[in-house]
Amino acid sequence: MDGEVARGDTADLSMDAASTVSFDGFYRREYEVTLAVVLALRGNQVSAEEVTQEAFLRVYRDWSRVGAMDRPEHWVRRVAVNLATSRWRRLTAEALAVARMQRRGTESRMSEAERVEAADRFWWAVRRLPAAQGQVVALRYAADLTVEEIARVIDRPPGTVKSRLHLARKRLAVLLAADEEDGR
Amino acid sequence: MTGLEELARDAGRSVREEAARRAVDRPDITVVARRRDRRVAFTAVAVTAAVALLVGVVVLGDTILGIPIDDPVGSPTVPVESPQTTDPQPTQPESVDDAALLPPGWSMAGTPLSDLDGRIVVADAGPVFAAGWHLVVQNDDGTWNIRRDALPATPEVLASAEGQDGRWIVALAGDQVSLFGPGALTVRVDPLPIALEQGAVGAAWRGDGFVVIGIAPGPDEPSPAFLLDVTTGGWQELAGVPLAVNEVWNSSVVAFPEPGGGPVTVTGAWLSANNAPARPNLAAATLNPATGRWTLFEDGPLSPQAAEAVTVGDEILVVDYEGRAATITPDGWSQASPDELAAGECSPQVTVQGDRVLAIACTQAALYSHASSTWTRLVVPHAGADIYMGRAIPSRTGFLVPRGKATISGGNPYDLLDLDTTEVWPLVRGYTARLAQPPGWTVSQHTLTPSLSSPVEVVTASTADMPVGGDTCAQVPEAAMEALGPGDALVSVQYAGEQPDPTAIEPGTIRELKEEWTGTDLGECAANRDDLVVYWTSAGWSGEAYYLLVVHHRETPEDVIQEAIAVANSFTSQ
Repeated sequence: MDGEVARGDTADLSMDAASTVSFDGFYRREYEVTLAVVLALRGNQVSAEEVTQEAFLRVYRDWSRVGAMDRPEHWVRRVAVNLATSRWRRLTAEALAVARMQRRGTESRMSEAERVEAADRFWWAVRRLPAAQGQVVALRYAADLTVEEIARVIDRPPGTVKSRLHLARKRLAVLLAADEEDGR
Repeated sequence: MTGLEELARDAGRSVREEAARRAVDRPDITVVARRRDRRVAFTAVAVTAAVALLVGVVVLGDTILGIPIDDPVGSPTVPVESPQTTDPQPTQPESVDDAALLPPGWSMAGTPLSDLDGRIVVADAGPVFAAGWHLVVQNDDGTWNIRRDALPATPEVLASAEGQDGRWIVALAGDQVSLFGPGALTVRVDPLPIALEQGAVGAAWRGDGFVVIGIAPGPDEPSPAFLLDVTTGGWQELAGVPLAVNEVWNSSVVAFPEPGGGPVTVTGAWLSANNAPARPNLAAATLNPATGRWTLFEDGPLSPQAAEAVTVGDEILVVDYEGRAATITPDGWSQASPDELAAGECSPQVTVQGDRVLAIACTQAALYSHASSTWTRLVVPHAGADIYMGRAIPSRTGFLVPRGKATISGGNPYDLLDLDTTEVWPLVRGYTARLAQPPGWTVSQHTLTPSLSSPVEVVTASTADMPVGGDTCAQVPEAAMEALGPGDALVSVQYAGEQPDPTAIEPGTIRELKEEWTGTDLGECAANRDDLVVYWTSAGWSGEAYYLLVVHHRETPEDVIQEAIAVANSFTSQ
């Protein structure tokens, strides 16, 4: 049914066919890395995808403007990290419990892949950083962006990004050391 | 490259690989958008359906206004209210498609779920919740309806109430608000007041509309409060709450509905960016509808973090992060009750069923009786199972559970626990301690280790006889251990003083009897019975130290061993 939307049903849409094609390509190209950033910040499987889709939906709604930007991917990543950390700070008990279970679920796979274990621990710690620091860490490592690119995404000077990364690394070292002592 | 930098780069690669795997399932976002936009276009269809409903004609089978999900409990239903019976007129009556459209991987309780990583318990999903963009509504007969794409993604506030004409639902996400009237029909609502655009922390039905509480501008400023009048879809500003709240998970809004608007209470505390609370104790503020003024109750006996409040009977019951509970009356806070849920890393969740309240936190559950003002720790089958309320999403699998029931998964088939009819094992007191007493178990009425003075036995339970004393070992109930036959088990708790061992296990969190607990010489007691398995470990409860002894026969079946674990988990002390 999803694929059977009649043209008449879309009469209220503001986008024309050309921009739809353009958005489709953008969506296909950028979904994966945006999901990676949200996954890093959320660690919550279904809601990470919901948040990513919501970010793209908002971009889609505003594609006539966003699509004309020099780097529209920066825009969708900004929307995504804001959505992810907005909800991240409002974790419910359910989300905490799910995250805990997922950590445990991942632990069962640890013996199979130590690298996965280490990554899991790293992102677990990132999710305990202040939101602004978590955002730059996720953009730096999950999206593999440079400091300058991150600055454009979050609309802050590169110096701010460097400062947040520095503070985040210091805090991460403490969190990971404590985690190690806890025997997680 | 430093170790941390290398770890971070590896973690980045790992999460990108995970995203690549999942991206295969990404939806067509343009279709999602079009589906939402079709709401307007469907107006004519929905009006037709509504007219058909009025004359009692079923159009499009069972799927005009609600999608009955694959429900093991009841049959599909169509909402009884038609759009015409609602006031105001719904401006966006919506049809829904002809398929049950839970998100991928979701299923109803009752479906075998053998692919889970761990055990979980899901309690009380109803009556309304969000499954992604879909609004899921439980009908009075226990069946479910779903409205596809009716919501902003994952609303932060979702409140529902039974009005005179049916159920009303309000959903808030960021600067968006949706209102649904009887039949889960969308009702026109004015845009959020500017003061609520920073976000809302909760909403409650007070009889004449939803009171919505917004995020306070600062830790020393009032929280905005508005009344959403469902008859007009308009907002009325109320006096600001003299209690700053800023996190939905750290605030509760509850009300006692009355025709003209009943009292509303907000609980919570402002949290800084690192979740540090701005006040040492949980506070509450109550709005008197007659005067329009709030009364602030500070210095409650509960933690200022992650407490949750519900109304039960004429009480407001609040359960906090540390497993304590208290009630709020017009005069203020009651004393905190004894711990029935051990402090853990999970925030509590509470739900009301009749005059009882189910509280859960991590692996623990407890029932509160409004009639007797007492708590009972609920001994959950499958000890150590994680408990969720509403929905759970392990391994991308979700559950809907009939209201009033809890589902324990991890087995196949798994158990369905009906909280209304399930047997709640009595808690039996021994000295200051209490243990659950499952059928077939006996709790000793006196010490079985009369020669033991430090530590001191506080309670012992067994499926076998429990003679006093023994010939060899004074430190354990040796004769009772010797009495164990195939199929039997014994649990004994000894008080060891203050300051528990940092590694002490906490009752309520035991998932299994660990091999490492068998490395003692206690096997030499009980006449060197090599057909017994003896577990001995230190335990901690409320800051005090205990020893836990669990013994079972090698031929004891697993369900009895699980009962023994549940008994050990049920331990409380005052």
